[in-house]
Amino acid sequence: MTLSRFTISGTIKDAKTGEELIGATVFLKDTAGIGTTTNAYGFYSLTIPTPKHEIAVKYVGYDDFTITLDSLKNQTINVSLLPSSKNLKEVEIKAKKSNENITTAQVSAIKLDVKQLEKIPVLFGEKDLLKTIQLLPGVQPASEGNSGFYVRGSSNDQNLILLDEAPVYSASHLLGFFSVFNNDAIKDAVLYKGNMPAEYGGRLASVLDIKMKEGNSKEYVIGGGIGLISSRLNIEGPIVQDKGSFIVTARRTYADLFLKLSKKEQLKKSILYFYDINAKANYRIGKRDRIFLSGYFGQDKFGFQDRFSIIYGNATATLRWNHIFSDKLFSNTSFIFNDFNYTIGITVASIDVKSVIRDFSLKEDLDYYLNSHNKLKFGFLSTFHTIVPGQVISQDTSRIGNIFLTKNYGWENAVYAQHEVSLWNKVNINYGVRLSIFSQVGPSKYFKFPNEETIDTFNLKLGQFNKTYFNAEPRVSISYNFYPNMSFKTAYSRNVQNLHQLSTTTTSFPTDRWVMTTNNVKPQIADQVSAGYFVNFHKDMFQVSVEGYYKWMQNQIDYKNGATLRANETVENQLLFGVGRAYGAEFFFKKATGKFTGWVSYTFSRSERKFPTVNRETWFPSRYDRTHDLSIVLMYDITPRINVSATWVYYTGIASTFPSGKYFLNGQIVPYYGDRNQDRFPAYHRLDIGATFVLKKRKTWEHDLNISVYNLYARKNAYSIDFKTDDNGNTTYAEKSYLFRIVPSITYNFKFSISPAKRKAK
Amino acid sequence: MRMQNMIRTILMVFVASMVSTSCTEKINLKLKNSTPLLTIEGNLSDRSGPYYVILSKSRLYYENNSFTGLPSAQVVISDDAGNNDTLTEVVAGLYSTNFIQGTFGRTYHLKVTAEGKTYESYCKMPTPVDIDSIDITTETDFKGNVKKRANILVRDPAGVPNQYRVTSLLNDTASTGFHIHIDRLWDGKLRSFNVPQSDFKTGDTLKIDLQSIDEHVYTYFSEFNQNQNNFGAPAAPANPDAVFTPAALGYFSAHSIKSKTIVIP
Repeated sequence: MTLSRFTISGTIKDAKTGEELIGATVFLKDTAGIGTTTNAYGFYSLTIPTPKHEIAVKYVGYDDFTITLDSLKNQTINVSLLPSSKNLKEVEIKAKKSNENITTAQVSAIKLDVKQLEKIPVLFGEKDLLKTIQLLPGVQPASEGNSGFYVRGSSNDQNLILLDEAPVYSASHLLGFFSVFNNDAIKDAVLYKGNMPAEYGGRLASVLDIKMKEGNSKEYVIGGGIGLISSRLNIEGPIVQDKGSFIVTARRTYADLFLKLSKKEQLKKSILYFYDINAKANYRIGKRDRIFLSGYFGQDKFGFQDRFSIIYGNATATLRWNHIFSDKLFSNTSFIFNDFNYTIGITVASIDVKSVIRDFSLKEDLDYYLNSHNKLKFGFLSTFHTIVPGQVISQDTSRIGNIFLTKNYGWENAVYAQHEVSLWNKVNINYGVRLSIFSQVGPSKYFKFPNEETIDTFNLKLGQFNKTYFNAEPRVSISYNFYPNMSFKTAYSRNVQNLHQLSTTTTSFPTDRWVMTTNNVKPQIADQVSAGYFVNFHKDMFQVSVEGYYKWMQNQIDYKNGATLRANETVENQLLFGVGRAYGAEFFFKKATGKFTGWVSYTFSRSERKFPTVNRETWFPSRYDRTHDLSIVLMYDITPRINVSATWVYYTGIASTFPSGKYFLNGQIVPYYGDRNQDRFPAYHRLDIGATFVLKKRKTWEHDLNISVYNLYARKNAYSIDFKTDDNGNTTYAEKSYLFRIVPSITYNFKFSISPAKRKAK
Repeated sequence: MRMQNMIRTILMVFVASMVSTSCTEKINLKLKNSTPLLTIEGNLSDRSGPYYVILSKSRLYYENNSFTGLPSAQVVISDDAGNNDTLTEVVAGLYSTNFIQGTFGRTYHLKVTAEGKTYESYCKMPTPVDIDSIDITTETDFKGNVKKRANILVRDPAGVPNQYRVTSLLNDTASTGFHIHIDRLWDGKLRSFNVPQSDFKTGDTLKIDLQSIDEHVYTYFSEFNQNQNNFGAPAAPANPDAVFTPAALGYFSAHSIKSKTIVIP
């Protein structure tokens, strides 16, 4: 039977590795405007309203593919694309459609090119996703060499970082110098800078959605690297060829081995390392079902002599089930577990401080492909949060008692629906709403503070709820394509956050306490409007964009002067609640293709806060305020086997509070501080360079050498500024501490594959 | 151990292991200028007097450190037992009590009238707590040097909030800084406090004072200390909340003292 209107659906994959391709386009040849893109699992569905036989499949870095239909009926068509032959020698797979930046309604989002970031030079040669996104407009590093980042004038804890849908509460190793994400395990990453689709929620400023590789389903591949501070090993391959695959990646640092070489006895006795393991497996059960199991486990260990130790780490696990109900309805169900915990052992005091934050979630997402112009997405997320604040466990209760702070439980629910519609081939609209519900639940306690001195304690029994907050989060983004290479986009969204991190230091620390929304701590709310203009030139070789945003924030959290945040049952009365506003303009110029690639990113922005008792309740610059932020990234392929790269970054120094005078007390000279954040650190700038030499590249094995130099001109960027009195006591002065001058590093990478049987791509 | 110090140690060990280039350098930083403010430092104890109140004015940060005392102020200390002592100016800015005797349990009132303004603060002198014993230990520091340190053991009275300040006198040199402790987490326990000074030699005479201080004074010292170590210190350093009305810098502490002296073996 021949239908006049029929639907084709299926999966688009890489012919060599069997990895699903996210965001590949499938469209009707010779008929403008009938097309779709693959979802996060490589699935597509396209309803064809006219009797046409020729369907094109496109993905940058791959050869185009044309499907010729035998019959005009509903059918499943899976396609494997071959990496482009012209690039075969030096494959640079762009995880991106060449003009996606123009055509989608999504504004304020960046899809990261995971392959490309291997070329960008970084500190100690550790390729790092979180450091690369800091080179993009609107994203700033938390501090020198730090993987923590601030998006559009918001704090680090206002970023939601998802690893295969599991939230990662502490995304850095070793005080922030390295991210927990091993580049070898990452397939795809997208950063939404506030205007996220309704399917995401829970944090104010951004979502970084990281997807792990599925593993090669055709052949076994073993890869790894030996670097200055760590070594990596990964293995991937089919479980049953073309039906299931697995990948395991592992990494461990050995900075502590250098400590053993130290002449200083104290360093020799110190421990300092981290490791992490990513593992994932998937299996296809029949044509309609697929199961994924993925997990991450990482830990940092630090011990200084026998004085104290800190051990902390994340664990996440995600079990996913893809089910294709019909050629139009795709479902994904996920069970998610994540845990972050730390133990601080203070030997001299014979105590351990332990803390845990743990979530169990059930998530359901449904993609419904109504027709070629309309797509619906809806689902829910239900999460049970447990926060165990720092418990003090004493080995000698005669000296110090155990302190068991009340555990807090929270139940967070969200339902969402969104509609993606394209009109007249020119306008794309994505609108939706997310309804989030949060309650603290028993067995626990809650507190009321009728005045400064009084604390009223209330018990919450099992099954009892403290105050429940309902928040509707409307989201809309619209793009208008004037021409195929030019568009104007605008968006509005409201985001709500119910878990809050209390950070008392300039650099956030993994042991900073998390608190949840209660009767005292209200949900943080942000409203953001964005608008941008996007143009591509010269067959998408050049991409230019200008974006502006304004963000209002409510129920922002700070703490009172002299606040006690640790081992304190009633931490909530140590907090201050205020408002925030942030605005800025982001300029981005990118050369996407050719031998010479790279980008220039410039952001002008402001981020301010207002709190009742700070600076007499006037607006002041937040810690995340950087007026100017410029990044230049250049990459050049000298030959197919040698490429060089350079990055230069410049940003305004962070807002800080410096002395405006000094006084004499207790025989000491004491700085007298002015109003909060009215001063600035000196501007930061740094040049890094790198080069990769492919030593050998064969079909079955390859290896390369990467050399990089961090901070080439050895600028002494201020990490902290102290105010000191000189040795003879006559004068006071300012002194900066800087961490790194020039840091060269070298990394060796290898990869070889064992093919069980040769297969040709379809 | 404070979190900031742990962070500093981890950074030091990490940087030492990797690059050994971490350094400090004097910089020219543009700073704002505040108007000079009155600083009051008043101490009174249950030891015999006289007790002293020191008055001075704050200076701009880049001015030299020649702080001069504020002369010609009227300084009065009184207590809830009806004693009222107007202090005598010994040298410019240094004011001495004449007869008042500190007694624990009494509330003291300091009143300073200077440059046309009157500043006031109240403080209750807590009950003293004994030093149980002194413990001399040998420790190796980060740089690998072996040093003799001292700890005092203190039996914290149960059921009442206690705040302590430890000071020491090594031969003729007094300790500096506010070394304070609060029993919030160890009420009624036997505690060990570090003695501020260290690196003793055999034959040194070490005198240790354990002050029992008022809660508000503890809070002032604690806020004061939070701002003293800028490395990984509070994101927003601020001056401690004033203990004087109207606001003036400094503190007024009425404390009781117990002492112990040891000759280093």
